[in-house]
Amino acid sequence: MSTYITIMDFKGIIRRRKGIFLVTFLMIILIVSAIAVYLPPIYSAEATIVIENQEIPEEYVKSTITTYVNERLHNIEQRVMSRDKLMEIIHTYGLYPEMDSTAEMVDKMRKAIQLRPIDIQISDKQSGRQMMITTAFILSYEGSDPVSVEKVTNLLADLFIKEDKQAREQMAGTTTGFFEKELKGLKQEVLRHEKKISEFKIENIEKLPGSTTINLQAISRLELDLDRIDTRVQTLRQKKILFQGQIANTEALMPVMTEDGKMASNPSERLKYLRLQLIRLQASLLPKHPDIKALKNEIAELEAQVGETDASVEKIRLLVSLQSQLAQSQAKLGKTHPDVVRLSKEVEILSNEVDQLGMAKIITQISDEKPDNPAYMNLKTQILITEEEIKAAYSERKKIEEKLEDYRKKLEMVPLVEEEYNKLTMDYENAKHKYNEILNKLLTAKISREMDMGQSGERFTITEQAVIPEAPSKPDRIKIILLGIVLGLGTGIALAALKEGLDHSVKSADDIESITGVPVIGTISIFNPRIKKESIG
Amino acid sequence: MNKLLQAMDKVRKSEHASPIRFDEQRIEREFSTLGTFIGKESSPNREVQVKYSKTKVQTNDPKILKKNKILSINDDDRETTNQLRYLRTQVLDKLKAIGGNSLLITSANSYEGKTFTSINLGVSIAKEFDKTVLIIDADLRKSSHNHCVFSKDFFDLDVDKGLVDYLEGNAEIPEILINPGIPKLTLIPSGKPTPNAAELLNSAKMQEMMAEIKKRYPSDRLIIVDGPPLIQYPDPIILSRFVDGVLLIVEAEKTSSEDLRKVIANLKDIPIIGTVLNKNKG
Ligand SMILES: Nc1ncnc2c1ncn2[C@@H]1O[C@H](COP(=O)(O)OP(=O)(O)O)[C@@H](O)[C@H]1O
Ligand SMILES: [Mg+2]
Repeated sequence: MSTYITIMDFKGIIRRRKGIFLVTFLMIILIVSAIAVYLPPIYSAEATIVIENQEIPEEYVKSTITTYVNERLHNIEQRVMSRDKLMEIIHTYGLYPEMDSTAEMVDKMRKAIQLRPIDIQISDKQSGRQMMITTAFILSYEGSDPVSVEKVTNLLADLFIKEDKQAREQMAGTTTGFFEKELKGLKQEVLRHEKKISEFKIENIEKLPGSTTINLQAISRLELDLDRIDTRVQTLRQKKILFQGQIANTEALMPVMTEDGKMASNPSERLKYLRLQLIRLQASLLPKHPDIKALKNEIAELEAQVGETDASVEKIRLLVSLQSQLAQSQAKLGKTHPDVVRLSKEVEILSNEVDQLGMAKIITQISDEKPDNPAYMNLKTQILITEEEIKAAYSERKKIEEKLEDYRKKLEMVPLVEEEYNKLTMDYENAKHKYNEILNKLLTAKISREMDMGQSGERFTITEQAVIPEAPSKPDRIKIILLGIVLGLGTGIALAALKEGLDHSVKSADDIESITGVPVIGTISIFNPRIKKESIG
Repeated sequence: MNKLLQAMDKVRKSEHASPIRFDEQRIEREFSTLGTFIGKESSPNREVQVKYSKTKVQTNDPKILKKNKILSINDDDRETTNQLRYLRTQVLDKLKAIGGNSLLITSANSYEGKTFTSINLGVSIAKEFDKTVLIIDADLRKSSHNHCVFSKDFFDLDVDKGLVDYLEGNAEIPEILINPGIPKLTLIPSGKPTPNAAELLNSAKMQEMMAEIKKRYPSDRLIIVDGPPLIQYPDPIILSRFVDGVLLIVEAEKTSSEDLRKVIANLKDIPIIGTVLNKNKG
């Protein structure tokens, strides 16, 4: 046989194999056409669900939903395609009456439902990279009854929307729920800190840094008061001394005039005089001086006469005059002058005595006596008043001093209290800050939730409802027949080729000669006597 | 079963076949022809002739012959007739070249056209050349269902005695000769099929007959032996001993190359004058 196929060979092949080819071809076409004709019609309905983007820009409100659309779609599909949901639909519409196993029905329904995402290519705003995003998807369902197909498809589409909403709500709720719980704990914390601070404040109200100025003001005011009282006391004292001086010069009793124009000296007057005389002499003479002895004797006699008398007024009066004399002499003669020395000694003794006398003695003495001189009495009253005033001023001063001390103590406590207070405040502020932070987050999450749950977030919307299909979508009979033709052609050719390949028969004179080596001396064509050949037994 | 079928076949055939006529004149003429094959002398012998007068001479309707694919008697179908003419010339040339006058026609399997070629070749030569032709149907098997019976299927002849009868000693040569109504053409039908064909063909009687026939006027006589298929039976090898050459028939798109190789191997030492591609469809 030749290694290449000539046109003649090809013609021969066609002639030999057209039979088997045609038979196979026609048989397959026949079978496929029969299948195409007898396949039951299947109707399909489609609903388009668009994934609407978030309407509010991401910069303003961030969605709480962080999963990808495809992922979410998958989850929702899983939920919609659940056995229970499908069984419910199957029961409602009486689908698949020919089946009795529920598992089979659900299986069939799952296969009849299809989700076809519609992807578009976009370039990412940030990176500029090309990427595919799902903008919508087509939900289709197919079955033998066009009316129920439409209904089921729309029901399924609604289910998708519902499930999506639920899923979004749930997801948004999780976020806000988390923040709310967190916030509750933080609020308690803040309240606890607040209570602590207020308790502390109540406890340390005046030691708080805020009251420092008040305290200082109070202190300075009190100090001023103190000063004032001091000056008053001073004035009162001088006043009193003045009154005492005056009273010293005033006889408590009306003086009795003697015939020599002098006032008749009564024993007590005489005693007073003698005593002063004694002081004067004591300054210049020794105590054993006869004059002093004589004076002392006389005094003792007189004292026995008049009883206990007092020369204090006279003494004070004398002291004042001596003091002024001393001052004058000192200025005039200098300190070392014998007169000055004598004077100062006198003043010293006298002032000692005056000091020993004390105020009480003076008062008792004054009151003890029954003076009858109105001027004296007036003065005595004045002194008493002044004394009372001094007393009052002293007690006032004491009170103010106590107050001052108190304030000072408070002022000392301030830094310590402040430290404690600051610590408490800081804790409070921290808690409050945290609380505010979470509160802000919660508010954001709430807004996001509003958006996600409402009509502004990313969501699914049915843009095209399913309609009752007018013509069956399956089977595509023409396609099946065309497929049959192709299949028939293929199989026919394949079978013909196989047959030709398996055929080892001699086909030409050349074949014979190459095999036998004997020349072909004749070729007789097949002779067909137009009359039909009789069958031969 | 088989007999019943044959009977039915006969009835059917007789409806189509024209009745056998006995034409005295024709018988007369043919006797002389036959005598050239059978008679011991070249001149016609009356006694012999009388003896042979029992041989049936049957004429056939040419249309029926045509229907049975004997083409050479008329030239209607140009292509096949021309092909046969060419083959005839070739065969005669080859025989002349080897100086022979006898030919065995065989093939690998049955139904490939041995008988068809034998008869058409014989008829063609008898008709157009000044040669007498004897066709011997040496296919004594005829067991396969699609085998065509030489005389009956091609010539619509009903014969009761054939080669088998002669070889078995039940008939003499003149009894089995038959003229199909074509001048210068004589047939020896096979007779009823036999299972021991090989022994019969291998017998002395066969050799005797063949030697006898071949020796008569070798130049203007042609003996065509239509043999059985070679793959199945050893008969053609036996027959090849009695002939000068073998003509191998190959059926286009049927005979496998393997079979052809086997045939060639079997005919290794036997002169093959040529091969014929029969039933060519291209
Ligand atoms: N060239 C041909 N054209 C048409 N038919 C043919 C041809 N050769 C043979 N035949 C038919 O084929 C069949 C078998 O032929 P036959 O000669 O009986 O085969 P064989 O003798 O080899 O068994 C017969 O019916 C015959 O008519
Ligand atoms: Mg035959």
